[in-house]
Amino acid sequence: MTRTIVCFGDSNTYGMPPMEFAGDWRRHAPDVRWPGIAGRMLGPAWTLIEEGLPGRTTLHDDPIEGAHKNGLKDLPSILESHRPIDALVLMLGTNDLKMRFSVPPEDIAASVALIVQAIKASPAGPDGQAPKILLIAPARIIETGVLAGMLTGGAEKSARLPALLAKVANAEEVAFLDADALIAVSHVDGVHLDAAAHATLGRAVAETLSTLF
Amino acid sequence: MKTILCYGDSNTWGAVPQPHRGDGGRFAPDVRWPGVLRARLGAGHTVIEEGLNGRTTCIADPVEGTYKNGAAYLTVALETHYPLDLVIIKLGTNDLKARFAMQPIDIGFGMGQLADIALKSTFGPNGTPPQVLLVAPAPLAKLSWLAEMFEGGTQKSHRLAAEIAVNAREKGVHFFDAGSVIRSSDDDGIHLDAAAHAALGEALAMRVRSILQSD
Repeated sequence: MTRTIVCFGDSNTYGMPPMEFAGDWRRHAPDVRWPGIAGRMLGPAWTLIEEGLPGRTTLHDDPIEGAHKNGLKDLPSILESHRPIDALVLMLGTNDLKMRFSVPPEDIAASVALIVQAIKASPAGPDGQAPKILLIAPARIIETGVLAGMLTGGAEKSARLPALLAKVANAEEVAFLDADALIAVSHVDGVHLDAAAHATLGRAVAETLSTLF
Repeated sequence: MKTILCYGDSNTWGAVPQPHRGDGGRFAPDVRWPGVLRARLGAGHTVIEEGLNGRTTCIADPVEGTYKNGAAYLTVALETHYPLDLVIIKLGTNDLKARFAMQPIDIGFGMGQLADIALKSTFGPNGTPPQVLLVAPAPLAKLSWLAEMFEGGTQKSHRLAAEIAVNAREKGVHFFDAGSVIRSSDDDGIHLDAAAHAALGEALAMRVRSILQSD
């Protein structure tokens, strides 16, 4: 049985390495990024499709980085482009921590819930059903390095996200993985994941996905 | 490693021609033209599929959804799949819907606009723009249940290749006319059957090889 999994996320799904300076546009190689790790573990019957966009928010048009960073707005295109989708792995929320959006963690969790509900209401799964969902709580951030100013106040908010997102997963009856309990962000920029963190996360995602079917 | 993005509509997604409304489905990955392209190019190439049913060149569809606007979404697709060596853009068919009143010259400009977005982007190797290949869709065939939606579209569709070719030349990007190797299916007049996907994938593989070799 072949399985199609869409990995819907931000720069930590895309595979942005910790940034030494602003405008550092490197990217982890495909086999280093967590979708690549998970795909290799799950084997050739599984197709993991990467849909990670740097700067993607849950549902905010970013006035600085672009209106196209709005995850909820991109969701219909992604669901329809890759259907039939067996499961969607959702890891968002970190970019909502940017001070310019000024949203409390409760709002971030509520925004993630709206995305979960939109997926559940879609016919993008097999036979016109909704895809399964694996919701991941992102690792908490540290305010350090080139991104610290933009994320002022974000660290404290981010520490509260795992518990709030666990409640969302519970209420929406979807699978949940707390990345914050498994991995830590890099001390270089306080936001992004190094290769070791991607490897750990990829293994955990693969293990969780394999229990969904 | 060379990375190629296939940006298109239902004929990139792989919609099975549907003689009656609701008969549709999706061809398997190895049947769809991006899959054929992937198999022909072989190791050392990553072929990424971004085909969305109903996608237009540059129009927010009031009926099927504003997110069908190809120009609005292209940046998301480019940035998500950075770094891209080549972007294949195959759109224009949905612009033929009567509700848009788009003329062939307009659709040509729509494709030109998409080429511009890619050429002004930093999502090619090392932050340079990617190469672009504009593919003109094959003309419409015998319409059935979609005839009303595409009223007047058949005649226009025969002029698309010429208009898109002009825009490709003006922007300095590559061009291929799908109508030179395939026909749309008479099952619905719009979509491609498995044989057409195979032929298009073969033809594009040759074209893509020559584009990437001249890098």
